[in-house]
Amino acid sequence: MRTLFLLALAVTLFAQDTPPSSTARRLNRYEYNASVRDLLAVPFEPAADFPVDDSGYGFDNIADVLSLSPTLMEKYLAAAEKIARAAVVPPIPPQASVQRFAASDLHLKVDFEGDYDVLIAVHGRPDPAKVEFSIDGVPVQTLALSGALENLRSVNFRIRLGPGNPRLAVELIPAGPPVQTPDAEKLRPPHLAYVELRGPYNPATPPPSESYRRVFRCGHPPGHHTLACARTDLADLARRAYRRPVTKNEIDGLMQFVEKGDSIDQGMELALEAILVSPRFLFRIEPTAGSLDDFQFASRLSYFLWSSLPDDELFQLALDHRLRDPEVLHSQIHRMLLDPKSRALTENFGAQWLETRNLDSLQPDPGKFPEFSTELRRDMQRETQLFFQSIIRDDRPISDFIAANYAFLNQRLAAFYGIPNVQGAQFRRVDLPADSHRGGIWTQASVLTVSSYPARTSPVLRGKWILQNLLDSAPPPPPPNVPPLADTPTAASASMRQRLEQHRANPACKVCHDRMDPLGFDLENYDAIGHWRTADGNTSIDANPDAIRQMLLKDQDKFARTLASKLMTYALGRKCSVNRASGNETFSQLVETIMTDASQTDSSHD
Amino acid sequence: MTKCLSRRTILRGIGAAVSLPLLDAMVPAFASTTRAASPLRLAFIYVPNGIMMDEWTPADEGANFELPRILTPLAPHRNNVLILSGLTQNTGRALGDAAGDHARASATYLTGVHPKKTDGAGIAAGISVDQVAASHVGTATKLPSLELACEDGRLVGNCDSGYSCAYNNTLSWRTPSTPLPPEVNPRLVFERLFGAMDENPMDRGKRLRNEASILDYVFEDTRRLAGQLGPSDHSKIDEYLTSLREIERRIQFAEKDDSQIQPSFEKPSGVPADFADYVRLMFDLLLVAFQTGTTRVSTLMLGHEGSLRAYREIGISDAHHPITHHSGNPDLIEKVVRINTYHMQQFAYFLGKMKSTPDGDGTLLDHSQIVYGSGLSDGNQHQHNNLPVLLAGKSGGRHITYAAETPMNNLHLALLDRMGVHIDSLGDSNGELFQ
Repeated sequence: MRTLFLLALAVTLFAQDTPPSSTARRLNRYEYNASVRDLLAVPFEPAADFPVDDSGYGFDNIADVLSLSPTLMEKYLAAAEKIARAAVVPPIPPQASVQRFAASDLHLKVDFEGDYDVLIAVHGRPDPAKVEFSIDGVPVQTLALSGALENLRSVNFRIRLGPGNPRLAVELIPAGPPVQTPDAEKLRPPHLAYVELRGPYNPATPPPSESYRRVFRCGHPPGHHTLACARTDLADLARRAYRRPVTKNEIDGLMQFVEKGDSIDQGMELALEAILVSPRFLFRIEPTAGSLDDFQFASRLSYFLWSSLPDDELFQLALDHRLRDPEVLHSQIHRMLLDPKSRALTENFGAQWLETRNLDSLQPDPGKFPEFSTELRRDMQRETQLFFQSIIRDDRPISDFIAANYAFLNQRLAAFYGIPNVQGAQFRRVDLPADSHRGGIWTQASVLTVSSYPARTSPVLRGKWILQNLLDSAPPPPPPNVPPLADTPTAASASMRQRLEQHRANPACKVCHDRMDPLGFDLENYDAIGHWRTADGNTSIDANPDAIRQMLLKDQDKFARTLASKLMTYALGRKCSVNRASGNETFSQLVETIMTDASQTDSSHD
Repeated sequence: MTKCLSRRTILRGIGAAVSLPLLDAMVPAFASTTRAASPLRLAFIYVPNGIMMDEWTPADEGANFELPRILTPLAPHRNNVLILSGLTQNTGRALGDAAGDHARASATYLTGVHPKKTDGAGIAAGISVDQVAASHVGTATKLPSLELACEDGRLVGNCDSGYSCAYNNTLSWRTPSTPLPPEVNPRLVFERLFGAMDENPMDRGKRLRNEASILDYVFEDTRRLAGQLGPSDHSKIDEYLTSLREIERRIQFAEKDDSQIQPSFEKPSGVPADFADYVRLMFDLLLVAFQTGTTRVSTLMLGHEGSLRAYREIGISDAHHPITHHSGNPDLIEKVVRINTYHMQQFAYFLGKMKSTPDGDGTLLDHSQIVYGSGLSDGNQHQHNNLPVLLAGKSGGRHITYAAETPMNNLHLALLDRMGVHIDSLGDSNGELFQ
């Protein structure tokens, strides 16, 4: 019923609406990495060296802003070569090498199955002796040590070993009376010096890599692929990479590489390169909203929640036209949010929405904040990530963002916050004491730091941060050529609040600063790295962070609409606003609304 | 000394009346370079957040001026630098778009086109002067142009008051809707310039042939795809095809050019921690790109507009942008001047190296036009007029003041003219500055 209604509404809306200027959306760096990972499982991040993706509306996945320069094209081509090479080239048989192990620890390190020469070196008096070897407690061999008059003797034997850490035991058993010469008397009795392991020789064929198996699905060994298999393999690769069924023509085109190549392996490598630089892989092309087909819908969902391509389950549901069934969609959203790949939402959406991605590049003044360290920076980031993840995975009401009574802390961060009884480096969920001054994202050190200058707080920046990111009511930008604050002799000694009050005396500034500055002033108890304080230098602080919590709780539906609008902007890659959402909704409900409404709520154009 | 009158002594366009003081003084700066056997190179070096103009602009005009404080590092290169005062980038002003002067400063600096105020939808500025040059002289080199920056543009959020970060992150626009992101990692710059040094010629030939066949396929496939799309998708796909064509050109270029260029220094490992080391390394890379003929056109941003870098190397722990809004506070002004001077020291290093690098019948600097400056003059009040502009090359030693409101793009036209690129207008130009 509801779907029908929405559909009708969509038709009406789109009859009048101008379509967005572009719906061809290039994968950004994160999406490229994730897509290649899920497609081929190569063990590196190919987009690490790509140019930065410009952002718009606060996110770096906005269709219109993602341009494609020749430099990037060059990198796409180079990355495709590297990826295809890594995926298609069979593992190279290992070279024999020598490892030496001290007598004190004879856990050998064996990476590949093969024959190994084990050499035992014995120091000390050249008494006649036998050497008994066992591996993992199983006797292997007993060899005689000849009695030559040298103080380093060795014996060796060959054995086949599989990958692992077998424990070698060596026992020296006397095989005659001790040698009695003036030289020998100076020496200790014979004892084990070290063990050398040489190999592997005749190594077993290494198992194909995960990437190799994803390309060649028929299971033929390298060099023995067939054209028929190549064809089904390519069809499968192209389908997954393009995120929709492929036509016979497309497969024929790709098969040209295989048919003309030096070998099937090499042809597959080239065809894979071609897939990876094809616009069908690099772009997600959606028709104007309302008429998404099932595969486009599946892609929108998977890039929204995973920043990656649909998995087999989503693809099959799209193929069966079932994905948009409300119950199916509901359970898929839950499944996807619980999947580790939903980490992408935290790292992309969360870190950009809250601006905590900037924490990496900020450098608080070490003179003023000696306690700020790389570790603390990482902890701050971790806290916000875990908090965001818990709201997603535990499907918490989104009002937790503004007033959670718990936090994710380790000992260092808890000490920084002045919260007792948290021991150890491990992060865990902590119920916050009533007097902790924490609870909600706006009290987290990560957010308080990114909304400050390196050497001081900025009530203006913090006020703007709250208005813009939590209440979708960023003040309009200042008028051009703002007259500077009057430079009075008292300015230097005046408190921040007094100085900004001068600013607000100007009517042109007052209208917005009246909204921003009071919010920032109430956060003045947190210094520029989020540490609690009651005075700034000699000036005592007159602030009330609790007023912010009350205000946000009162406005929690507005907060919910803000979050929903930002999520939708992120999901659709263009500016969107959502005008109904409530703070009581859970994160997954918000996602569901967005996926359902996306086809009938269009962008507000600017 | 020979002086050449312009072929077009009457300036074109509505700004024909613009006064050109000391026109003749300009001639030696350019004339000999056009006759040299070595090609002329063009680079723009950008510093963000304006300059303290009181400590930049010489008090006197002509040749007898004292170098103000910020320019003192240029003392050894005085005769290679022209100080051009009075130029304006009018298109950077609000013109009804309210705030966003920082974004507009960089977006207009080389384009002279008022950018569309948008945080995402329909980004548009104009083609930039370096890209006009690249589209003409760049076909003769491996890379048509090289975009560099010494600051990562990865900050999130609005870059400036409703403008997408695309406007802050680069100076170079290949088309009005295609900004070219700069490379910030010296290692990656090196790899772009010199490729895989250890590749043997046979592998290289095979790789180039394979790449060509992949591109052929993708061209064909994209044409099929484009046939299925509505008109709104075409701009992105066109952008893709244009980039693809450029790569095809590079591959063809590489196939013909089997001379392996040997760089004169080791591959850098990454971004140096110290700012001066970082900037100097990027300057070294720019120099070697020019020297080896890998490109003739480049832009290098020492920082992005609105940059929050704290210059701890010179004892300044405040972020750059906020202190440029100094409100007349002498302590803050002093810090800004020190940052401006610090940047200039790095530029002086570059000029020194350019001057000591032989090139054809002279030095590399003799065969270059290097513009240094910012898209704002007074950063405190976001002024777009009387911009700080230096032009370094074969000769200089003069301070020239143009009439108020002379478009900066008139300088761009003149630079293009010297590169052999003769176009009638660019952005808001209303004539050529000098010839």
